[in-house]
Amino acid sequence: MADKADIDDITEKLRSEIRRGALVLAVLAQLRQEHYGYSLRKALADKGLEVEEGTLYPLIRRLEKQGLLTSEWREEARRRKRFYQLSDAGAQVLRQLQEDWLELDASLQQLV
Amino acid sequence: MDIIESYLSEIGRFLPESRRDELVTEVRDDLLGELEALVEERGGELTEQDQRDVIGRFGHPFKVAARYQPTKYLIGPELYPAFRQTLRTVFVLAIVLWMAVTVIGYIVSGDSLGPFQLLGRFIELSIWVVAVVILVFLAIENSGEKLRWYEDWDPKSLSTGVLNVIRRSDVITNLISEGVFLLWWNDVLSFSRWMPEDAVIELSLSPVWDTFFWPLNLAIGVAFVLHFYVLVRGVWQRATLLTEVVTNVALLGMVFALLVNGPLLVIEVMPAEHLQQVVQNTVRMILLVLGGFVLWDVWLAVRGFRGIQLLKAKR
Repeated sequence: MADKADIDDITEKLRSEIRRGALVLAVLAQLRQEHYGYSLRKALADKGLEVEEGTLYPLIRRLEKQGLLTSEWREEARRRKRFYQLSDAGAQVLRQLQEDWLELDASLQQLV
Repeated sequence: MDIIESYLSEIGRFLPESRRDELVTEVRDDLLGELEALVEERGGELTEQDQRDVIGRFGHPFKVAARYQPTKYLIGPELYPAFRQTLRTVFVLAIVLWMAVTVIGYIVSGDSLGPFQLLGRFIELSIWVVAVVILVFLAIENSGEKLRWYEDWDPKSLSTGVLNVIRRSDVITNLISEGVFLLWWNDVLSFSRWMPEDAVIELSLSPVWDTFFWPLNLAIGVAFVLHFYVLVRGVWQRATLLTEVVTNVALLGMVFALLVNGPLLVIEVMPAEHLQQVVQNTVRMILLVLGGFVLWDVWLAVRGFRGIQLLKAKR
């Protein structure tokens, strides 16, 4: 039988799996407004979703490569920064993911 | 060089040269964004310890470099079980075949290897087997073919196959005998010293056998590939049973053709008519025994077919 350390470990892994899926939805939703890396992380944290740097920044890059985000290098506060925003394709994906999320949530509400 | 640039330089070492500048610029942007926010929060300059804390949150340069690149596998999790199974099967087969060839070589030619030579050959063969299997799976992993295999899979393939589990010992025996035959038939393995050096006669195969060079290579080659495939799958199915029957019937035809054609051997020393007759009869006996084995294989395959029919009728 699994001891407490095992259970904590398993719980942590499952929690991070749940968060990983939800995080894409959260990032796409937040990027309906333009953000650069840190401002996005802060905006998500302000809404209760703390994300580590090592998770968020590569994710933004991946979504941009997939064409779901557009990006632009711009100078702000004497430094060039890369700003991200939802692309048209990203908006379509976000709409679909939102619907899926709501359906999943409704199902889960009946289960848990 | 300050600590930030030193960190970025370390990350760059783990990035492909073609994308290094682009990715390092991006990581720098992310890092500076975090540091700026900290300056704002503190309302002043950052200490080296502050910078180290931020870098620590980003993680080891190798991990950061890995995160900014697409995940690539040598052999991915989807293919890994098939890779492990194939490697094990090919490894066992190669070692058993090699041992059989070594033992036969020792018996018929007296060629023997010392323990260190044996160990050396074993290690060499193992490395080859592992390298070849890895290369094949690497090619599959990178070709995208594996996805088509999985997507095209049809549960119908389960309908009969699982009901006819193979006898591994039979299949492995077939593989060894076919492997040794193919090596001998194609002059990779020589039994030239079968006769003692001071023998008064010298035996060789007559030109009749030349006609059967490619047919025998084809039939035994198909049988070898078939038995290897069946060994990997672990079951007989309709298609493999049918191939088994066809291959064995073809072999039987060749055995019969050899039996009625003669002479089968050329004996160099004259006069030796009486000896030729004795040897001829011996070879005919051997061919008859071989024919018996082939017939037994045909019987097993037919029995397998009947098994399938009976099980289908029961459903």
